[in-house]
Amino acid sequence: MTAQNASIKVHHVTRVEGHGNIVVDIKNGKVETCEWRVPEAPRFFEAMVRGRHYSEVARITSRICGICAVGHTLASCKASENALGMRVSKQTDRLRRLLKHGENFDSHIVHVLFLVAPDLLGAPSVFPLVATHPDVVKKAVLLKKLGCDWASLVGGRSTHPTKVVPGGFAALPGNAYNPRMATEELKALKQMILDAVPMATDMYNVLLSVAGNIPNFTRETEYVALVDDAEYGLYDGKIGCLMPDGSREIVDVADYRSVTNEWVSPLSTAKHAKHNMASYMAGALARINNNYDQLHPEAKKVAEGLGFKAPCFNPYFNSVAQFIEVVHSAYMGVGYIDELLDMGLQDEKPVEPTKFGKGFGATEVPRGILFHEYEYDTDGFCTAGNCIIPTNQNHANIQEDMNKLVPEMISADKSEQEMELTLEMLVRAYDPCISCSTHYLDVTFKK
Amino acid sequence: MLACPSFFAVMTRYLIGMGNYARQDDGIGLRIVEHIIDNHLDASFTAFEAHNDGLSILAHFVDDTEMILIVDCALIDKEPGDYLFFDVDDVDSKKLAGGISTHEGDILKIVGMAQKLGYPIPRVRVLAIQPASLEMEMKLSPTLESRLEEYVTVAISEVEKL
Repeated sequence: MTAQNASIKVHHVTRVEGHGNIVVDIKNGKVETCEWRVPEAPRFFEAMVRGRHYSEVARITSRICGICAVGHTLASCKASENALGMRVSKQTDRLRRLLKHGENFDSHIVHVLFLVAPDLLGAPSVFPLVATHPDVVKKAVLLKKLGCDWASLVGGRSTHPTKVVPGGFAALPGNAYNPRMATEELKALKQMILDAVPMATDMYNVLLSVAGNIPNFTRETEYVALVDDAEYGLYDGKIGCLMPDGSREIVDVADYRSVTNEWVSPLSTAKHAKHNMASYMAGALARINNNYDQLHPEAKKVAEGLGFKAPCFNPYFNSVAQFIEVVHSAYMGVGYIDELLDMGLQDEKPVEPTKFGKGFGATEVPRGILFHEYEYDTDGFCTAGNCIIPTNQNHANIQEDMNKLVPEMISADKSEQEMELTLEMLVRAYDPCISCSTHYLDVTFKK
Repeated sequence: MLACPSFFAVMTRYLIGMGNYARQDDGIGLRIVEHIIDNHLDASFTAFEAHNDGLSILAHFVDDTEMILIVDCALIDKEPGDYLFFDVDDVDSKKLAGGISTHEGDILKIVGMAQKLGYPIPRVRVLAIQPASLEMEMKLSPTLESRLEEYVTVAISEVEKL
């Protein structure tokens, strides 16, 4: 079937986290339907935190996502600390930044090398690549393990970290009983990161060899990400809203609702967001477009080698941006370890609340900017919560991309099969984390 | 004070919890591992929660690994709360997973991938527990909750007996 008459119905786009559907109908060259639908059931985490003590809230909201659990924990702790007047130590700040880079490294490795690479290498999933590119897959597995170990060492575990609590850290990195042992653990982590850099370079060469397979599609949109004078916006900062003309609005995190402007789409159980334009993009591409000058020099070299120029308006380059961030996070991780070693680790207790009220926290998770907001009563129990995750902020932008992309593909006389793959790749490029799906084994015993 | 092994010390046996906290009994594997870690019952093996992230298990298919015990909820045609052990070699997957991602882990696919990559395959056992409910709720069903310590005991016994 040609693009003049096509019916594309992709139920549960694969290689994304959660469930979303693509529905496109074209008759006689005219687009009759072009929809990005999200059918996931809401999970009501904001209701779950009501009535809970501040010490429990981060552990609950961490469960919003098994991939971005570190980011949810950090955003949650920051919001609670803001509400409770808790100011964390420099050591806590640096450990959290180190942890954040670990999550970023881990998640991006999985997305770029396991979920996106098959598209660029012409495979339906990573499984055929095991036969055709075993060395690439093996190195990807090792890099994935490093990301997992990195976050586990600092946070207690990579998914739903246990050491990060409001006011500080519940324990030192690794299995350490004292700062001296924790220092040795951090030194070991630093060496593991440095040992992984050559493998990341190998992955760069693979990505470079297939970069020509990235669809050539651009659409100007607004890019929203954290910006921070201290570093490339990731753990902390204000909200940067970059417009296509290069102008940028900076908004305090406390005013995040003036940016997100959530609205309900009849196509989706997830809310959509918009700011200065009909939609905006969050994620690695938004971060790099907002923070390019603050990339680590080694990451900038990778960006230049891959032909990346900020601002970039091709959403498919979000995966390229993620890979650039992998290199950035590796070097920044080493830098934070060095800083912590220079400071000398201390056995610190988390700080206590000094007030009770409303607070806001934002951090970047791999998929984009994340907001948490809580209000506490005078006994430290939560009376209200609000969490806005990046994937929801991206849904409207995916729809707007599809609205431009489908007519372009009709004009280019793409086949239905090509159109379907290109649309699936678009959704995957956003690395959506639509929600956690159930998981269980279903087996039959061999006779 | 007890000697504390480095975080990066190589342990040779793994007890790995899989599942999803948000779907009631699908979280049983995670609850078991959580209980083991919280009570420091993991002196002779490494316990960790893989959730649905099968890829994090793949990296443990190395020469030093003696065995892996996966603890998970499974549809095994038994009464809710009942359990059994099996080797992954003894079963075929009926699950129609669209691929592999951090939300679509299937240990049987992971083992197959490890075999194709030429990784050494240790003995991989599964403690499979029949769920009573997979509704959207953050706690176990009363049926499984009441037997949590029993599952912990048999899981530890299995991973230690080798």
